[in-house]
Amino acid sequence: MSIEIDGLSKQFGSFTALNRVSLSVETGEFVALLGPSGSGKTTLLRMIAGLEHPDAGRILVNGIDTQSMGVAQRGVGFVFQHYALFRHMTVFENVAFGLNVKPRRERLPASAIRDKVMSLLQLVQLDWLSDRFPDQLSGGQRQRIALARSLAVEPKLLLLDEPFGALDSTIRKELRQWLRRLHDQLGVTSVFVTHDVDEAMEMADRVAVLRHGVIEQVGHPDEVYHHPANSFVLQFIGGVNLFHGRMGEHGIQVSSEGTSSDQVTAFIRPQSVRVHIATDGLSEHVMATIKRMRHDGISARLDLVTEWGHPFEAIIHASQVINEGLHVGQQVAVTFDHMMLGDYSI
Amino acid sequence: MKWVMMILAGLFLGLFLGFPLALIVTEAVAKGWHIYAQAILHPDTQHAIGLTLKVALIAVGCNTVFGIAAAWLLTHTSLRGKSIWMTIIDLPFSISPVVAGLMLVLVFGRKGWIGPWLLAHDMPIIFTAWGIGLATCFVTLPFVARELIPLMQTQGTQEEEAATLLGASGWQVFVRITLPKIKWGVLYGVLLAAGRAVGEFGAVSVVSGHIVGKTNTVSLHIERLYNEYQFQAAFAVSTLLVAIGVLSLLVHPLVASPHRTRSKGNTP
Repeated sequence: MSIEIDGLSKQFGSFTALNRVSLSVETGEFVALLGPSGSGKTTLLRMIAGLEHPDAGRILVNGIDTQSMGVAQRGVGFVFQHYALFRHMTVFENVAFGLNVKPRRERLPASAIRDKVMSLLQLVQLDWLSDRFPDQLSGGQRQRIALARSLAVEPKLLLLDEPFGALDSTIRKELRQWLRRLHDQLGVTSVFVTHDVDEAMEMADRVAVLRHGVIEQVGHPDEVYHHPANSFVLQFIGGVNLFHGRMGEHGIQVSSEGTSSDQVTAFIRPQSVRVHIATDGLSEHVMATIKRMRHDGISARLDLVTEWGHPFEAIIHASQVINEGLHVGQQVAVTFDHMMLGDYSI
Repeated sequence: MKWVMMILAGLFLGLFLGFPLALIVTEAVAKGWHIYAQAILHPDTQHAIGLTLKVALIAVGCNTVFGIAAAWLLTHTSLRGKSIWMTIIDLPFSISPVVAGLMLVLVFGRKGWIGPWLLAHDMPIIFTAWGIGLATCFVTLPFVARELIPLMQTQGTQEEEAATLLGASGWQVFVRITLPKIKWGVLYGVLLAAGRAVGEFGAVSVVSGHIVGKTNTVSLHIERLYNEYQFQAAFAVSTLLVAIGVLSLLVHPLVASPHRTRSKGNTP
């Protein structure tokens, strides 16, 4: 199911939630709406679902204008941040709800509903919880039940509003991969809202970055990461180091701030900084001293300072720290994988 | 300090609540149980009880329907001027019941606004059970709505949205999702309203006409007995109202506890 969003605007009192937003989502795509809180991403998602009505603009689903369509007719599955499970119903009744409220003519016989619900519960690996009530489940389990419930009506479009927002980080990482696999397996089109950059980068085919009700950039995670459209995207998507330099014969040559007319400003992600203990075989490099190190098991964050006293940050594999015996106070050679040039004003 | 406070609070409660209530009960049976029974079983008392229950049932029934509708409109729709509507719903709380009764007389009385028309069509309101019903309706109007509005505000509308997205019609959403969510709140509101409806005196007193065996409610009956120096009978009938009050207090914690455990599927 493809979605074509065209010039959508929405005003809540004096607050502009969306300002002429356009976006298209291809069939089978997994798109993330990424932005800080108040950027309008949830409003956009709710509009696609039909829970909110735009002041201007339109949404086409498979080329058909949705304006006159009711919420139920759109055939979307919606997963709420706080699950919105029906607290007075068991897990089974929750998942069966969408099947039970169908008009008598379209409704499946009870045994078929039972089979379908149980197979959905197996899909989310929670069939053993079918007679529990929502308040007896953990957050991760509730979220998976909410997903199973939304899938019961066989939506072609899955909308997820901060689906992992209320979960702790371990379960979050686990569910991310699981959800992405499920998306591919079901062949649905998915749009999900998040304020977590890692989550969007890891899961989505394309990321739309929103701020103040405007889409700042849409693109593949790599593109958004390495070629941010403006300074907001640059800073929102991971940290960035700022360097001054000059255009040299091998590209940009980083140096201390000068006054020459050919001076440029380069932006370098901490992940693009390479740290070497020897200068052998390195052509363009900068010498720097390690000031501080922090580990989180997988990666290490290094605070460094160049010979001319310019501080910057690097994120490297934790294994490199151990293998090469990196330590605070050590002098290292530094190269840069990817630099971004531009008129980003920071 | 704690003991001083407890003694103060205890003394106060005992003096103004426990002691008088106990006195009512002892006075009621002071001259023997058979006189107590006589007072309760007297046809006038029996009629008053019947009328009170009937009126309470109708008033509470009407206000339950109104309360649910009003609370739903104020929390599930983007109605304009919500705070004004809330104030209007609260009005019966802030208006003296006597004034409420007089208002009804002004509208429905012999010289009232539509009273003459009603009388001409043989549908008298004032000095009939209808008037009592209307007065009771007026004074108990806010209870259910007042109970439900904050409850529904905190519950939010996400479950309703989820149900709509799953294809449920407006009516299905209301019956299958909204009503089960608010049922304990409704029950509590009904309990409060019923307590007030049974015990209402002021507004009812104005519109009833005090016709024994016709338009005398329990509260009015107690007043009449008391004024006729039938003290024991008055206290005997009073114990009925005390019993209803105590009963609703006992039921209250059962209904108001926000998180109830279910009998089904409660294993860890």
